[in-house]
Amino acid sequence: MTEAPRRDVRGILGAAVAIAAGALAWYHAKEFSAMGSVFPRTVAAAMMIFAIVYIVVSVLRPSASAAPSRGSAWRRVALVAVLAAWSVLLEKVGFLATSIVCFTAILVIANYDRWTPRSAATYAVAGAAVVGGLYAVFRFMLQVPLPEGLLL
Amino acid sequence: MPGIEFLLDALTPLNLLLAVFGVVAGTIIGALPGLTATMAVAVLVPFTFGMKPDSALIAMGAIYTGAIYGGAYSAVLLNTPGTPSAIATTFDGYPMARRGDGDLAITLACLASVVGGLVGAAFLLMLAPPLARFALAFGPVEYFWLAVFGLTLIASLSEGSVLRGLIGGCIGLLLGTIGVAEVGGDIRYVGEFKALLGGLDVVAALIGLYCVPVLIDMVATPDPHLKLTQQVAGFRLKEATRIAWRSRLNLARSSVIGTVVGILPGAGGSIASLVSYSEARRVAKHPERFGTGEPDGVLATESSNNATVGGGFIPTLVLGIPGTPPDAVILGALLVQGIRTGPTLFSDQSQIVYTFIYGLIIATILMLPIGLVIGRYAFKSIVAIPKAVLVPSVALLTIIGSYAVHNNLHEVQQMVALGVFGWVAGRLGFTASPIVLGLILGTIAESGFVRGYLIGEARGQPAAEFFTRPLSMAIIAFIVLSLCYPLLMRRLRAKGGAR
Repeated sequence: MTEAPRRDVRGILGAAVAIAAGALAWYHAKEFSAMGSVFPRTVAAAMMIFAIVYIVVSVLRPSASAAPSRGSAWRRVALVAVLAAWSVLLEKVGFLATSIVCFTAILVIANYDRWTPRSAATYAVAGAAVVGGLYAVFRFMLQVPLPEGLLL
Repeated sequence: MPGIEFLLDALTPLNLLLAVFGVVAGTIIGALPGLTATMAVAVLVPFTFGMKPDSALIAMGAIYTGAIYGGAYSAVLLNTPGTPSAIATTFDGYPMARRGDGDLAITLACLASVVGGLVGAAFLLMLAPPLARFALAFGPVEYFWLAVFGLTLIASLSEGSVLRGLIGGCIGLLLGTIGVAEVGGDIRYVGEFKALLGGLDVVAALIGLYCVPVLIDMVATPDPHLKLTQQVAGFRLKEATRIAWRSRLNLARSSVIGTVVGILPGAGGSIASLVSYSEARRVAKHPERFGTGEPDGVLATESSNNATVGGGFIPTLVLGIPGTPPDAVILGALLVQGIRTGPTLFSDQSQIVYTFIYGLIIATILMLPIGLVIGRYAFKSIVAIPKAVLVPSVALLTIIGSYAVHNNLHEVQQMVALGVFGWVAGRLGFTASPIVLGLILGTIAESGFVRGYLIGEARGQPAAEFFTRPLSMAIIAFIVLSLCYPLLMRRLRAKGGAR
């Protein structure tokens, strides 16, 4: 879905961030040897040039830009928070315990239907099967040493 | 046909059973994000130690070819390449699934994988020794130009703006420089994060950049993840066969590209599929449809990545140089079996080699029924599973998949961080594909460039090293053609229209 031509503020913001990142990459490349710095410096310079050109073009010639998808912000933030916690606690608490808790948390975040005893029981069985099944496949069949931590 | 007398050896009940088992196991492992074809082969290789060498090779070849195909499932259904070889499959496979043609995309991927696999195996059967010599002609400079050729694809992956695509490509290239430099040993952009010394892991980056943004958007609305068309019946095999037959030139070209890239040690399925996709788009009548759910895109990438299987075995068997990472694992298993690879392998141990090649052909053919059945089941499952269960299940796969690559927790954290970065970049208009392309090809490009430059400098002519070698010139010609062809065609069409 596209909107009528207007200034691409998000794109300009992204290009500005790219210029800053390029400048930072260029600056830090001074710590590298000549051989190690030639490639990142070339890429950083190219990125800054492309970003500057993009900003100029966007300001001078507004064009149709894709409308960003709408949706629940709190669910998005909550999902990212759970994923971050999952990746950090995995080692300390243990794979199985962390996965059961985080799986349940994401299930709650992603659910839009009304909770009933039946749906809760179905989701609990499905969750146990998925977590337990994947744990068994990776731990015992594929011999992946999953972290055990304080619990399991 | 060379070694036809060994066809019957490949058709023993045990070998057929191993081929079926290998394809099924490989397909399932390849479909799980994070579990690459290399891992599929590595995990199952100990089971082959007690077998006869030809049976062991058939089992490993079947696992490998199945895993490469299996990568297409999650690419099509979840926008997450199951293996790096399936990156380009997401470009059109996922849009097809979003509009309700996921089953068609999977059947097309299956057909293309079988065709590609057979072409690669045919080259292995007929032309292995001369093609292995061709691989030796590839030096660092040729690898550099090959990576640049792959980077030209950025222009076609830039949804709406080439400049945004180029910026995204540069971001990927810069991300690829993080860690210890391959040439020179500089420690770059690591800061206090010592875990980044080894650089960003490509598989963790793939999962993060492709899958996490999809999850973030999936939880935001109650809309179903994929649509299901009303008139779904069977595998849509007839429709897929018709499309594949119409695109037979695309299939043939992509399979040959896949075979040739597979022969080049270190290049692999991801580059093969990207180059094939780029070529398919370049010569297409409607290049603007690529990236929006064009079946030709799926056919190109899936045929070429499966063709790398046969192609990769050529230098592995003839020269003892693995063409792709799974070939390195298989080479190790061959040494355990007491097989010495080398130019005389095809004459000294012809029974083993030809039985294996025919076994690989049989496994590839078996992939058609097996792949169709598993594919249909996978599609129906993804459509039928309620979002409340699908989202945490995929999240669990991303976590366990990125961990299982190197059993490293830091890679899980990298995956989550890159996923959030990918989502923010997407909101700002910078899509994941150019970033991933830069990340994958950056290392090859830099390594080839620096090595080529050093060789050229030692000879006193650094620039000449890049522009005078015949193979380099051929690849440069393709790059120029790839960049100029769309402009040229547009002009010619405009002229034709004016007339």
